[in-house]
Amino acid sequence: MTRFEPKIVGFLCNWCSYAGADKAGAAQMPYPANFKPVRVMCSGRVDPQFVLQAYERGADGVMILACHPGDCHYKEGNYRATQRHRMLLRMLHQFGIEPERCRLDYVSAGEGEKFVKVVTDMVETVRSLGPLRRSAVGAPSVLPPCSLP
Amino acid sequence: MGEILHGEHAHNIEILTLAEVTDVAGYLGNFTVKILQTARYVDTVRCIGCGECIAPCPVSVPNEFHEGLGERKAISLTFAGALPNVPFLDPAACLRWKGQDCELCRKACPVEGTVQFEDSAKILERSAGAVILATGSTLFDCRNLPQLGYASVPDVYTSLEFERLMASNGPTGGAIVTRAGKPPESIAIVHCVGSLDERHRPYCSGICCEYAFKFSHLVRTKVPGAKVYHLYKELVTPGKEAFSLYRHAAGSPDSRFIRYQDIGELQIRENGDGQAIRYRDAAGQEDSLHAAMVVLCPAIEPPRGSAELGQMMDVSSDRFGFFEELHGTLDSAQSKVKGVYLAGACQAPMNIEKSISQGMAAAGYILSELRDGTKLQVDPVTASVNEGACSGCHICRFVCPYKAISYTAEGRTASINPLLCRGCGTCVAACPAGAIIGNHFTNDQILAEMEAILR
Repeated sequence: MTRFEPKIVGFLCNWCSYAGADKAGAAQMPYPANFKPVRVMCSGRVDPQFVLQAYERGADGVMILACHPGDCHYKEGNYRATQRHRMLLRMLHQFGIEPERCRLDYVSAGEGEKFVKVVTDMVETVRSLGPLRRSAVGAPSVLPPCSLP
Repeated sequence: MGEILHGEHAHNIEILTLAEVTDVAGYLGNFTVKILQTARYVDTVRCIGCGECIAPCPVSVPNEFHEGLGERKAISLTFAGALPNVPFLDPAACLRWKGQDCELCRKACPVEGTVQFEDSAKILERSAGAVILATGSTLFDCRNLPQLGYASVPDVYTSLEFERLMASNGPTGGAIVTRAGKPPESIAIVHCVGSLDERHRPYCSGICCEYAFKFSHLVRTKVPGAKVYHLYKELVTPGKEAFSLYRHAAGSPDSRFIRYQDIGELQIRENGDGQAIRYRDAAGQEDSLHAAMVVLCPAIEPPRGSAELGQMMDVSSDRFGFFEELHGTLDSAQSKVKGVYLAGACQAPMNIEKSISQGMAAAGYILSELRDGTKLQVDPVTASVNEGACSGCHICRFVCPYKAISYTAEGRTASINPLLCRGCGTCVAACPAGAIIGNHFTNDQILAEMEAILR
């Protein structure tokens, strides 16, 4: 049996996290090929719908990587991203999607190693969760009754 | 200052004293600044700067310029050489504002109509292409460390007060004397007051050691034979010249260096004709010494009012309250708002050399960006509104960190000022109607990218 290879979409802010990923690249640090980066100018640009659309199109996990609190190039975009991520997790719960599949983390331009670590962590976490049950996504009418904690 | 008054570009420079900015609106190339200029009560055009009005004034109040160590009159010059060379009248001190009919200053003035008790505050409006914030810094309030005895023990001074005592135009004419008027036989300089201290200011202000060693040097010349004690937590003298001041202070037979453990355990009490200082040294030994004068070197802090100014300018502050630079390493002369630049200690504690460099950098930015006749280049990554889809909910206006979004007069649809917009896209993500387009990062582009990578 072949090992499950999850597909992870990552939204990386241009100023910190994308530069952090670039730093990892420049240092030739390997990270799992399961991670597919999408560059946005700011983590505040990440529309919660992007995350849902990523699941719909085949992603098993989504990461939003932002500047550290207080370091946002646009003053407060990372705080907006954090707020939206909180809201997303509650919504994902209702869809029956595990919170581990949507992770927000802070990676600065200098943190190549941290970038590799969070990405590797995420890939391993989602690998152990297994593939996302696609039939449930985007078809809330056929979802089984949701049990809230 | 001669350059400003009479230099080649003097006609382009307007100095507004007694003035406070009350509102700023606009963007790079087009700011409108509202300024409240309080009344001076002395006509700056008529006044010849002779100062005849000052001596007859019957009211004396503490002189702020001398850190309260000397006195000034209710009508006075801030200091010799202040610009404009015109006295100001302080209504908080003047007898006329206390209901008395004093007009000694007006009578003493040789130019009729110069002292104007009827003067009133003015609101001025100026347009500007760019704004430089250079509001400087202030000192940590030493009363937050009450065991140091500042403001209760007579001969405990802050470094700024001591600086005034040493200045030739200071309250003592440059003589270093105690409050009793005697030259001190010993001076203790306490470094790191409130700085490098998690309970107060965790950072090192970076300038205190250097000026403390300068004090050492000046004390040696002004009060020969006086002992100088340096009580410190850390000694920091970066740069290519400062070490010579340190060598000079450390090499003096009259100076002693004592490293204390914790400023919380350092106690200063009045004792006979001086102060007794108790401390625990770095080795853990408790000890004490006697000093006729104590000089505290407090941490550098953002000045009062900077939070309000930051809010008005939309310029963010760091966790210590200093104005936040665009980039800590690459660009400390720009704020995060385009067209608003930073110079000097309002951005971080810094010495004169660095303040000047930063001021020049800010001026350089402005001169290169706002040349006559050039068109401002707008970054293509901005957001724009599809007015047909906008429902006028105003959500975008609240999330925009740059106040770039305004509404039409009827409030129906949003519009984005491309000069103010920095292209972060927060509004694009927030718009419930999908009416905002994040140029070069449109929803369609991001979706297409996702589709391709998930194929």
